[in-house]
Amino acid sequence: MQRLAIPLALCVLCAGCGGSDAPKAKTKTLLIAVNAPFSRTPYLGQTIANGAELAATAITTKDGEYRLRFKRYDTGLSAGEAVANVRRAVADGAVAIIDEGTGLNASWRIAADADVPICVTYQGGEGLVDPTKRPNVFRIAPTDHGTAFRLAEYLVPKKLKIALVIDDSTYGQEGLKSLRRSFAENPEAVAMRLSVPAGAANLAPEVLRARRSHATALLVWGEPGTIAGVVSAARASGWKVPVYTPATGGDPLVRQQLANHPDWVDGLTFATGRPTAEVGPGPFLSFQRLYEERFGVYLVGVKTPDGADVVQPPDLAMYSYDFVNVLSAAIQRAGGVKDGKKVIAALNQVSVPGANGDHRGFNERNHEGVVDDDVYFARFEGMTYQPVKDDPLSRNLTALDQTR
Amino acid sequence: MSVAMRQTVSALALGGRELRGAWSRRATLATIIVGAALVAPAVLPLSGRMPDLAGFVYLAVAAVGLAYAVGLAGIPSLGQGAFLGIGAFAEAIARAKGGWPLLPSLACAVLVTAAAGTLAGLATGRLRGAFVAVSTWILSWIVVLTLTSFPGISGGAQGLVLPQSRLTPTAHYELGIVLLVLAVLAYLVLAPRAPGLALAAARERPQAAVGLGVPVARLRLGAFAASAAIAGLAGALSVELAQIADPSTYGPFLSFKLFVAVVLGGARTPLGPIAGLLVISAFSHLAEQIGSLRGLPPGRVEMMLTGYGLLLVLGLGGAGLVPAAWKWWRRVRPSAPAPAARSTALGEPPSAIANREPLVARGLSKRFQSLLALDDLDLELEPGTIHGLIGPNGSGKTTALRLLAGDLAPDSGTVAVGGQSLDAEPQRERALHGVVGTEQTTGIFPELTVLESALVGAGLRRHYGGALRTLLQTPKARAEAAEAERRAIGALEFVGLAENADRPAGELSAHEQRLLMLASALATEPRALLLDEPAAGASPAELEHLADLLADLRTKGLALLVIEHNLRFVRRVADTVTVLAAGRRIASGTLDAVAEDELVRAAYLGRSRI
Amino acid sequence: MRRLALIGALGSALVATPASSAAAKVVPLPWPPTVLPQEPPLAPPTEGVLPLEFRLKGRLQNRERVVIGLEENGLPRSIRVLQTIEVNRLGDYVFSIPAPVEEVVPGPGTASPPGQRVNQILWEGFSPGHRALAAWADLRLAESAPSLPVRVDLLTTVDGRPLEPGERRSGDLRVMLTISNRTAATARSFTAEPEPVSLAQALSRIRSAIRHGVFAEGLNVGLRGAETPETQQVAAPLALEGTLRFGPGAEIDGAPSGVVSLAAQLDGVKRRRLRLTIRGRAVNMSAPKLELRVRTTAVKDGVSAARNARDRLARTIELELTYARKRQYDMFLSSPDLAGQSSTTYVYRTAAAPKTVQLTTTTVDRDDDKVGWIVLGLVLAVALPAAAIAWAHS
Repeated sequence: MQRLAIPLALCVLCAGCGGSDAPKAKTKTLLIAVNAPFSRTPYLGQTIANGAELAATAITTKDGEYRLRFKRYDTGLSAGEAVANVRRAVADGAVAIIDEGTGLNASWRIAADADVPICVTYQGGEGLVDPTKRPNVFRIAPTDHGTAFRLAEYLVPKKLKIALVIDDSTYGQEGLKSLRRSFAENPEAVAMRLSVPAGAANLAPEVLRARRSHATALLVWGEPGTIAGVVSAARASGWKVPVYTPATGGDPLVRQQLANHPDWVDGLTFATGRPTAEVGPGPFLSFQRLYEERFGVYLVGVKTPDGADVVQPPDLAMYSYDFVNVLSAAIQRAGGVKDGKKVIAALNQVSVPGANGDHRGFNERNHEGVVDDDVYFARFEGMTYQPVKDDPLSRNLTALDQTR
Repeated sequence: MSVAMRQTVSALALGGRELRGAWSRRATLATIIVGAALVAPAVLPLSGRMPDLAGFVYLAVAAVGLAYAVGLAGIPSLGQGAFLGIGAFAEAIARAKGGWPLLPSLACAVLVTAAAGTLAGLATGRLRGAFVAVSTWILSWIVVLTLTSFPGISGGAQGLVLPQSRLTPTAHYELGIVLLVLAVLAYLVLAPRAPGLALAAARERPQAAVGLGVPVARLRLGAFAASAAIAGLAGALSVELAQIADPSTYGPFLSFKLFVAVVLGGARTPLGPIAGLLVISAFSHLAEQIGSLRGLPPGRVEMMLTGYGLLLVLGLGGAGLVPAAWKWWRRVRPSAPAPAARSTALGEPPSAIANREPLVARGLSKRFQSLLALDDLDLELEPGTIHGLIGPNGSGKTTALRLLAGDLAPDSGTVAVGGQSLDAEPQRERALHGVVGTEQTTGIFPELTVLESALVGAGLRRHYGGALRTLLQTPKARAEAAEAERRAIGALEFVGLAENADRPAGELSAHEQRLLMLASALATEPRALLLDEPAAGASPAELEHLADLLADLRTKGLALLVIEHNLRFVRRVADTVTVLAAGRRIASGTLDAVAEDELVRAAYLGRSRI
Repeated sequence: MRRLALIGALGSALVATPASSAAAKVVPLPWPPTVLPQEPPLAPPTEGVLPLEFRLKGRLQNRERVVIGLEENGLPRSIRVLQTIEVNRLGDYVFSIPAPVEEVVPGPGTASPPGQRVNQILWEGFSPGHRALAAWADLRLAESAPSLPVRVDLLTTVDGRPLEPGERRSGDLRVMLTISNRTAATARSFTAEPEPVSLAQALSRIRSAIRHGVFAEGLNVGLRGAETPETQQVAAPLALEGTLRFGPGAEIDGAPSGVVSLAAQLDGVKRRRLRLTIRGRAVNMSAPKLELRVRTTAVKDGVSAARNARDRLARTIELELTYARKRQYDMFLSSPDLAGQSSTTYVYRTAAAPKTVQLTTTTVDRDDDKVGWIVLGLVLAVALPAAAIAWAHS
């Protein structure tokens, strides 16, 4: 009997080692890299990353189930670092990269060689996205081209003489290219074009030059600090012309820098991607609720005239959120991530409901997820902003609650 | 042609034999390490990290290049990042805007950076110490501000994108390893040989080095330009690797980081910068961790850690990690038996002077602002004589020596040897003409060995001792080096220091140091030696020894000028003397004759007997 | 007696009405999407089509120009469509049009560029009240050619032998041109005794839809008695006009200018073909070039000439189906609003064969590489010994 004990024991063990009949779920992890300037502009970097992380976290395809994991790579607003990060992300096995846009002119190739799609969710510069030459590059963000043309479309009929004030940051210089084109057919609308140093403390001399050109409006295209500086210089000298800006006008920094003069902010009008759509504010409000439950409310640090705290809606976070959802749909359509080219091709074929209720998707001719038309105008009043009423698209939109 | 080929073959064979003879266990170990580094990408799963590794290797090349300036030449350059940037953008502009192929672009980048380094070296050539550091630091700022201010050239904040390169990151890594090895080897070859010794002398006592005919300014400029060129090559290759030239990468912090790496690891050893850079990289990773834990920008934390590292090294003596580690290793492991003393048979004693022409000075005058240090001095040094120059303190003796040696330019007067005017010749050229002076203070090179110090002097007469020939170890360079060594040993034997050939000169006694100064001067094969207080601090026995040496030199036909306060010694050695007082010659002749002169007595404050 | 007659009449009326009600049943007229072939408009298999939102229905106008490149024998070699859609409503729009597209590019005057997906043209944007969208679409020939309304057969012979493509010959010229209306389809229908009022209502709706150029909907008719299935031949009535141009060297009987004009109305049922035979003399002549424009024409309303109610029903169904068939050819590519207004012009044109682009091969680069290595090797073979000699003497 004892002689049989060991073989018997082995048999029992082997029997116990048999697999179960139920198929094991194959859950794999997919890495999505977020390449943004976390250290230099934390608000921007955090918002992009938060939006991405809020989106779908699991995808089911015929290849199995995938969980999404996000990794942050800090560019420090350096093109070289951004490129190096993309290399690292590819080496880490990222299946997609969400990018602020710095250094994209070099980094897209690295991702393309590895069949990894890159989606730009902030910079709107022309030339960054080209479906023919850069088939793996996509963008979900208002384009400079769209913003500039909408600004021209909005401002030219007002018969204003506009002083274009552009700073020498990358954002400003890219915007200048688009502004040149958009105002090319209406040169009489431009009183003068002025370049100012980004980050300059005192812009009074430049604003004085603009005033002397008999401009009746200012269009300031630059970083938030530049916008605050121009507004400050104009209002301090008693020049009460309307000021128009691209999306950076809505950045909290502008209001923070003008906190001591809330009346100077009144009337500032900026053009940006719309957070709500014709279907109503419902989708965005749901998105906002989800965002704030997870990441908290972003207090701008200023108050309305009634004393309520002003909060910044997470409109910037929409774009990375939408991209992750589009990517998930594309991965499902492609049947998995084994073939990066298939995923990139599938990105051209899918649409998903966006955070703001718009359809989000790309196609073979156009890798812009925010169409040029989808730019609306918002005007500040009492440190909060509302859609303007004198623009057909804007007046259709609902104002968002920006107080707590 | 066949003669040339035979000569080539035999030179190659000789070179091979010498290399085999010089091969050591350390060399074998180094070869194994380099081989492992080259083979690593094929063996280890490094493909994802290869771009970072290759980038690190290129940075290490730049750091070793900086060691040429900081370590060899003693130039505290905080501008290496600027040269990396210049090389990077020269390459990027040639490739991206000019459409040039890779090799011509690299060559252009190196040439542009070398030119920039030369200009910067010329601008900072007369500065020393902290002033060099500040001016090179300013250069770093100028370069990065220029790049960011002209986005049309530099691509602005988006940088300049290069055309796609055929070189893979692994190829870059391998190339970087090869360049790094070449840079380290070049340092190892140059440092102990004529160019390195001359630079070391120029670094430690520039004035004394000039006195021995070392072209200090030219060597420092050369080292600075070479350091810049190496940085330019590293910058050009690193931008080829990154495929983008971003101005913000080449800011002043990069220069600071490289400087700290060199100092941290040890500037006087080529492995020091590599070790230092490894430590800096560790700081960088640590900074990222701290930054993410505490929510701080990692860049700032990295800067802080790097600064602390520099302070730590400076506080611990400043030698660097590699020298400190080596020192610890020698303490832990019993040191190998001291090398046998060099065979004195190798030494070539100072030979008799062939050209016996007097050194003649007429009407030499020199004023320092309101002080007339020397007024219309006439002096004639005959070959085979010892002439003493005496007088109270401040009488102009040292000024006279410096004017004769060419260290100072006179306001009026002439100096000639053998009828040939030396008025337009600075110190080094006068040394080439055989007029060599020594310093009043012990002008030795404390960190060089006794033999190395003498070799500095022996280097004056070399024709094939330049950096390139030394690097390539050409047959003529090696032959000349051997001959210089024989001359140096002969000079040491002459003064009685041959037994101390391998001791650091700083460990010698004061008298021995003065003897070493004499030996170094003798190694230059002078015809006229100008000695400033050679007997200072010597014991009676040492004085006797020195007197015998000077007498020996006199018999060989040298013209000797001896400035001394020790009148006994002057009486012992000098054939004639000149007495100076308040910058004027008040008496000339034998010592006994001048001792009777009223003016001389008055000058010496009424001493009854001189 | 009069009282009895009245009671009898009333009673008959009462009895008669329920009997009539019991005999009438309401049936839909044949529903064109089910009884007619699905194409046109072209409907390639496609996923994720974005349909037009309801608020935009009735607010779009679709115009198409289908340019068919023909070979010299009349067979199509390329099909390109310029689709112009006018959005006449304030608000967002996003919709896609299924089509077997190879390439889509913006058309003239478009206010925003079209997108392209697999088998789709995509439009997305905001209309401030009126917006024109235009796109040129190159279609895959195999999938789109069968849906063309006419077929062209062109046979050119010189001295009895067909002229090959690109060939020039001299001799007795004979050209036979046949243009066939291919829109005929056999539709499942029925005959029955209709209830006159409901038939009149259905007919009125059909005529109103024809007048407004929209899809006729809600067509039900009451029947007295059972319907008998039958089939009907329906086709889209087409108007053709065009020219056949002969190059220099052709002497055409009856067309001294070398241009033969042609025009015809082909209803596709009674008249399906236009045949033309042209004679003349050719002197070093190449094949003639055809340019033909085809549009649908108004549907002939023959309901008024019906002999009886059953015939009226049959003619009404014929009117409905013919109109539906015409509408199909009024949208070669699917209009985003299938029920809305649409018009299409077909332009057939003899076209040169498209130039094929030769792909450059990489062997040139590889050869360059090899040469480079050889040169490098030679240089090194010379430079290394020279360097060794220079070193040994320096």
